[in-house]
Amino acid sequence: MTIADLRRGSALVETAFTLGFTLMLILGAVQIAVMGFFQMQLDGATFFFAHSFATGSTNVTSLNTALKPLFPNISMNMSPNPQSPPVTNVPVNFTQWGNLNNRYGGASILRPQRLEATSSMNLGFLSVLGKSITLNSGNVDGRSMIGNHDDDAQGVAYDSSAEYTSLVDPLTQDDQNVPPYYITLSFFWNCGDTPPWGPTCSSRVLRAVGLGEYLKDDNYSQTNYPNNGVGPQATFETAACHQRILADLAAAFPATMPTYARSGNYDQNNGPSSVSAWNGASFKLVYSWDIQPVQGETGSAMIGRLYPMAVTNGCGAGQPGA
Amino acid sequence: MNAQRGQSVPIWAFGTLSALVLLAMALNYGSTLRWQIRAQNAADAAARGMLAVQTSQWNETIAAVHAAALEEYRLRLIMNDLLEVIQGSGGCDAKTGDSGPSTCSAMYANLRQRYFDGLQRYTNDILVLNRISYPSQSTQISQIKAALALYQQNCGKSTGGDCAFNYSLVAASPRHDSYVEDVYADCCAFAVGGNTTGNPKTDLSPLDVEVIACANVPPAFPSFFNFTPQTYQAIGRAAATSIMGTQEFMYVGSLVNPSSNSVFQGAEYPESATNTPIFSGDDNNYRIDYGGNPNNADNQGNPAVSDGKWGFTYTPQNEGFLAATGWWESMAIKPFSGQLSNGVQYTCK
Repeated sequence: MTIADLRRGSALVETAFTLGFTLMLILGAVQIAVMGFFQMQLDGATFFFAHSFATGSTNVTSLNTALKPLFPNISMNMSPNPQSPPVTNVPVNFTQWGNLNNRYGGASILRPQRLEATSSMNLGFLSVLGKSITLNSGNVDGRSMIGNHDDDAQGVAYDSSAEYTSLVDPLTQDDQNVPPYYITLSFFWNCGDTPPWGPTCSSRVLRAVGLGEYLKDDNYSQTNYPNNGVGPQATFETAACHQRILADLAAAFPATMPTYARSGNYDQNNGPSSVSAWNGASFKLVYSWDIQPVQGETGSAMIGRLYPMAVTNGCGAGQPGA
Repeated sequence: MNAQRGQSVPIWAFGTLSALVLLAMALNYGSTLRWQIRAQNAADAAARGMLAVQTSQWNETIAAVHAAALEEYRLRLIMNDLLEVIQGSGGCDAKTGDSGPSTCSAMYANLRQRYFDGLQRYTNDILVLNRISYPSQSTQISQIKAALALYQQNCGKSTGGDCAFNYSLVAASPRHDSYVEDVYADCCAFAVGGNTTGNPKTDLSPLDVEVIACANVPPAFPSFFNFTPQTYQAIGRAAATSIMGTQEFMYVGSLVNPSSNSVFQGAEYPESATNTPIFSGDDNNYRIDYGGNPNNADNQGNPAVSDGKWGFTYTPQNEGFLAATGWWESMAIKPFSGQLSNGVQYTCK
């Protein structure tokens, strides 16, 4: 046996060993590349599904159909899986002095409902140690939803399951879809006794104060209030009118306390409607902005419109608030 | 023997090349996807951020209206007190020659000063309200365009966007959809929404905006053999709208401020030089209450009774100041501008 004969056999073993190792490495690399390719498709598909649904494309069938051409290898039959929004802390205790159905305030809040989309893909043509490979992917996007809707009329806790299962869409299902607004209900006591009355008033009546600061249907209109700010025909024109009249009435309070006379200038009920010394303003005019007595409203389509406040008295052309 | 050497090299070469090509394709696809998601995130952030121009203005307006309303309420109650002491009513000592904090004249002096102080604040509130609420929606849109340019200019910093993209504002229009509702209020009740139809003027209509973030992305790998990867565009398209992030009502004299552990607006005693009661009985003819202060025996407040579903009813029983309003922010919506063209509605970096 020659040396060459001995070498022949070893080359075959080397080749077999090298070839096997090489093929294993190559196939492994190919397998990883293929897995990565499909994993990325899954990741992309779940991202765009969750994102599109969260921003308002809520027709699941249409959404799956629209995304299919972008991710042709993915079986597009995803459906959203809504999860709870992040925990919030609303520190104001609206029931401190009352209870859920008898309280002094309430709030509804917009929160991102965590919308989950998941998808999986079985790579039957690949296997590791005889087991087929299944790829999974998931994505979460925030969908803006209203919790504790209608100022928390339900009276449920802010991080409760009752809250999570009653979330509503702010644009189509809730009263959050309104223009900017600011409204007040404000009251003070008025005594109907004939002055001077003492520490106890026998005929106290609650008076609703006609404040000039509000933003609601009254001053939303382009026709009546085309301008912005506080000038003529502006949204907050009435607020400026009230400021002028209340400033005029500063002259009614000299350093020395004035004297009262029935039907005189300091009689808000029976006094004059205009006092020239006060630029035409008067206490009677200011008190005409209010409603007295306060009348309740229940269950009417006219809620909030039944008792228009006389807040613009004195604000017209030539009047003290103009 | 020599011929046997090198027989594994072609296998190595072919296999390695195949693996590299596959890897390159997968990475290229991954790069494309990553750029697309990056573009989407860039556009989302820009669209929602730009609406701060409108939402901030409205939040400031609401804060100014609240300050002015609270001050007018205070002035009205001080005025009522002034008339009471001028008329010798409410328990003050009207006897001529008497002195001390319980005399009508002493109370008058205190109330007069409080009225002047309040009037000064009220006047300032109205001036501030004028400045804040003055800009129109067309001004807001101009400011949004300017803000977007600044966002581009400051890219890579905390006040800017992703530097890889060009940002284009492709739409900014009022949200006049069929869902916008209205708000009613009078002396004694209010309704927010409730299936009403809102028709606010344009300057008070929420804005919808749409932004495109676009970049020309070079291929992840250079050309090899006859294969030349193409430059492609990563386009993120996002829209957002202004919406009330919170909606709330509160009797400001009843709710406890968690920071101070006392009510937001406590009772005031303007008839007193020290803002404390002069008489036993808590000066209930002169005191200013902002929300019932239900812990006060003289004023049990005006609690709201919930129907458990959609709203509340009130039976006012006492002095109080309820404010109902909401704070604004932005939320993402789906793009609404239809088909767009590069170089026309938007440009790529």
